[in-house]
Amino acid sequence: MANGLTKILQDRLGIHLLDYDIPEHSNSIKYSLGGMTLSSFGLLLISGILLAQFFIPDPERANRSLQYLTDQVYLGWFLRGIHFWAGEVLTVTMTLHVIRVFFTASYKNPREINWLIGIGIMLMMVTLLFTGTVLKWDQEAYEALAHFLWVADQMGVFGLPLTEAFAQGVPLLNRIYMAHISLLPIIAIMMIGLHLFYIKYHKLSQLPDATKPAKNIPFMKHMAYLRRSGSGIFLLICLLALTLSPPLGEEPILGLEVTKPPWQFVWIYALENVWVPFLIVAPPVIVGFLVAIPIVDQNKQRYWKKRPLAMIVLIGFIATFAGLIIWGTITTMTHSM
Amino acid sequence: MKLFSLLTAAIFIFVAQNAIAHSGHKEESPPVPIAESSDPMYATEEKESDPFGGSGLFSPSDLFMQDEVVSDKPAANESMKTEGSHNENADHKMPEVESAKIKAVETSSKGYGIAAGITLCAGLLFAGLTFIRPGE
Repeated sequence: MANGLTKILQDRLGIHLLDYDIPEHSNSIKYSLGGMTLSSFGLLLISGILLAQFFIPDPERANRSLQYLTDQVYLGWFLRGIHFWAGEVLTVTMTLHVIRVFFTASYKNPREINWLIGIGIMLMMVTLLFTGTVLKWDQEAYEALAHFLWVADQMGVFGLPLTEAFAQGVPLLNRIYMAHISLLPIIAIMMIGLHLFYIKYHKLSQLPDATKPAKNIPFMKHMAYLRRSGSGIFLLICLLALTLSPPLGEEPILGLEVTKPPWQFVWIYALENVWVPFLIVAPPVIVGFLVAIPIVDQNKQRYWKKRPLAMIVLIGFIATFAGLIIWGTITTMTHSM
Repeated sequence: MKLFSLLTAAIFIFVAQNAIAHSGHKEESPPVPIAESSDPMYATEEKESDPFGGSGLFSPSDLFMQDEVVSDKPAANESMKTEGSHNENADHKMPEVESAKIKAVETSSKGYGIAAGITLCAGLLFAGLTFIRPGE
């Protein structure tokens, strides 16, 4: 009976298409970081849909609706905690995933396009993180938006669609909310779909130091592993949400510049402290650098010991970012916009 | 005819019931005029139905106004400045702003027990998958 039902479902849902082999090393933490990131993203979508039932995307009510959610709504604080910590965990696993791909040179021929798609997904996630920060509409949010608008203003006509002048009469917060819950997730989901398609198409990369083809396992075994790692991610997020509540300030006092951005953006705060136009220059330079990697790096070697220059770049990149994050955390702003 | 009479009576009773129900408060307070915002961008409808109460302090909606001191009624011709000249009014007394921090969750939070239960279930699920490893 059960077998018959399974066969009926398999025939109709095309589940047999998942019945293919992948390298055995895919069932390891470092090769499952993308799957873990996807688990966090799924959790963000679900918790985001629930949060949207309580959030009022109006500048006069946004912050208060969140205060109401966390203080008055049953489990509201937990729901917001899940959403916040899922975003934090996603940032960590996604960064580690990018580092792993670079370390194992998995971006090389024929996977260059998938690297670029991955960079696009990362940009979407960073933008989602930024818009999410603004939506809570406290002092930190206001200052983040003020900085963003300064950049948009400097970009002239190219920045116009990002300003309120583009759609006068519509509060910018409404448009940011629309981007956060609709535009950006839709683009991100489509890009994730494409990313997964190319992983399937090109197959998971072999181990860089492999001398012979790796032993294969059925893909469904990898799915089982991802299910376990995903449940581990869910447990971690639940534990964090249960013990630590995300920051939420009062409504902003306009004209002040007293807060620091979340740690994911604090590196740019440090750079801005050195030279304000870094705010405009740094993001495109970094994106350009990441995009250029598979084009510039034509070294056929994939094992890290045979890629000394790439390893120096990687370590330099990590050290610079870590240094800027630490510096941005301890330093105080010496200028104003 | 009898049916018509019954229907008419029922309609009258319904109308009368509504009339009584809605005329219970003789001393209705005059409608509070909503302060007209000069800029439709910040106009919010149905302010009286705001479940969070009216804004007593300031309106954060006028983010992009020039003045540091925020007013609920922005001036008519106030320009929509998109960048903050943050320290323009540095001579003014700066209000204290406490930056938001991550805090420990209070166990008195609404539904804490359920949240703990959900976390426990997540833990059990992870433990089960780790020990049994179905499908791996």
